Amino acid sequence: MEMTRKEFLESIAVAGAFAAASSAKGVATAAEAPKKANIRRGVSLYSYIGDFQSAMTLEDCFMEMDDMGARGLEILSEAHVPDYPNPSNEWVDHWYKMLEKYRITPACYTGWLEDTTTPDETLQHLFRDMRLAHKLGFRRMRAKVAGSRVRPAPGTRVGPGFGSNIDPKWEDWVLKALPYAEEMDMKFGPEIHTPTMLNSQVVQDIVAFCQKTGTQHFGMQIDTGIFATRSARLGDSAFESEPDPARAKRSAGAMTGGQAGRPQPTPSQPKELLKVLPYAFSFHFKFWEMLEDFTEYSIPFDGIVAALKEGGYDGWVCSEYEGPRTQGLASLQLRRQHVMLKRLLGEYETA
Amino acid sequence: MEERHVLENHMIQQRGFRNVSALGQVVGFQVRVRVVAYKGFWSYLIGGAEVSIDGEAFTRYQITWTFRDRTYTQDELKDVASVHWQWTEPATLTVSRPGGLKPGNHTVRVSVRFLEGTTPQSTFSRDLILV
Repeated sequence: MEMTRKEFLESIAVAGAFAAASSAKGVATAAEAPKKANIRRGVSLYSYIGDFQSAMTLEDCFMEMDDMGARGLEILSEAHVPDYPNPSNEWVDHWYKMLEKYRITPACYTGWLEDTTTPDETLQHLFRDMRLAHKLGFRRMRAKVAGSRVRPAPGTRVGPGFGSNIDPKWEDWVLKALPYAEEMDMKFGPEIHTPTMLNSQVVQDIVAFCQKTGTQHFGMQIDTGIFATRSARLGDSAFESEPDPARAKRSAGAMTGGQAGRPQPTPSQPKELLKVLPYAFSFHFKFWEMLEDFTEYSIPFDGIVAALKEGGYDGWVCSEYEGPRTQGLASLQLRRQHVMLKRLLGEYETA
Repeated sequence: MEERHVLENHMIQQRGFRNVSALGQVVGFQVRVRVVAYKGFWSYLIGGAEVSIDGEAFTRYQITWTFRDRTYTQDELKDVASVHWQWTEPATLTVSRPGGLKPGNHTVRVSVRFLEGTTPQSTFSRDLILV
């Protein structure tokens, strides 16, 4: 049936009004009925860092993930991409073959923002990483700062951890990045990690920015370390250097955000996630010690998963093991975490 | 470009320990086992494997062997002249058990008997996690 031009324009107007109403609702808070949660499990390759290329190849890591049914993958750009930022075409083909063989989906890419001299230079680095992330199949990117040569002056408003030459004016910088992020079909943002809690000014500023702009290309990744109810007993054990006399006051307490002699920040509660969940595009399921009974020593994963279900989170949660790097231990720890997660997500009932 | 993968330094591998399904039902589980001698063994010298999980023993006829893409019953192995179970390639044992294994910790015990005189039987035990 052919429409008159008038009928056609009217149908577009109705569709447009409907779309506008829907997208206006899209930036509403989670207090309005959330959709059904679709929480999918993954692993950050960082979990295997102690064994990676020493006792385990990329394929070994993928085999482990396939065993666990952990389908989502996070990588760290400079650690895991050979010849970063220009991996060979041969490697990229191989990458896709490995993803297909082990049924793995790229979930989140971590790119470091270099400690450059100007915000514009940093922006170019961000774009370079977005191109590479896109090429490798990622549509979510966590931007991590690399070093910080200049400390912000006391009292300066702190940004979300992009780097001190950007942070106080980070909103302007992100606005410049958004068109490119949209072109790359990429959602990006910082990680909310100890000692930055969910009730911090930084998180409130991020939420305000997202609500004000309505952007679909910026948000945050949340690390579950912020929910730790007590300090980890077992910390990361990377190669141990001889002590640097200038930094003799470091302690294992730094792992959970406290430092020697300073009180620990009060952890966030899982239910605080509900307010910020629409703006969270990825989770790090950080952990240090899965016990033999499949619970974590410090982190209330049952509460965290319950909050994600209640809030209707639709996305990936990637394990991030950060305990000791004894050979083979990451593999064991991740398997324990995924038994716990499969139970919490009810996956065994539908097996 | 071939990605290599490495093995665990144990006769019983954690990697690959999982339940298996057929026609929508969980019908059993699999575990990968390395040959005990670096020389390897021709498959016709394999007398058979015994498997027990947490003390539950499985019979000869509940277990099959898979080398690369080919699967054999325990009785068929003596007639297979061309398969070499080698140091760098585990065999996969598939064990029939309706419903498979529960998730969590299991003590896996595998005993392999050889028909060649100097290596009668090797038995290993390892605690594995099934996710």
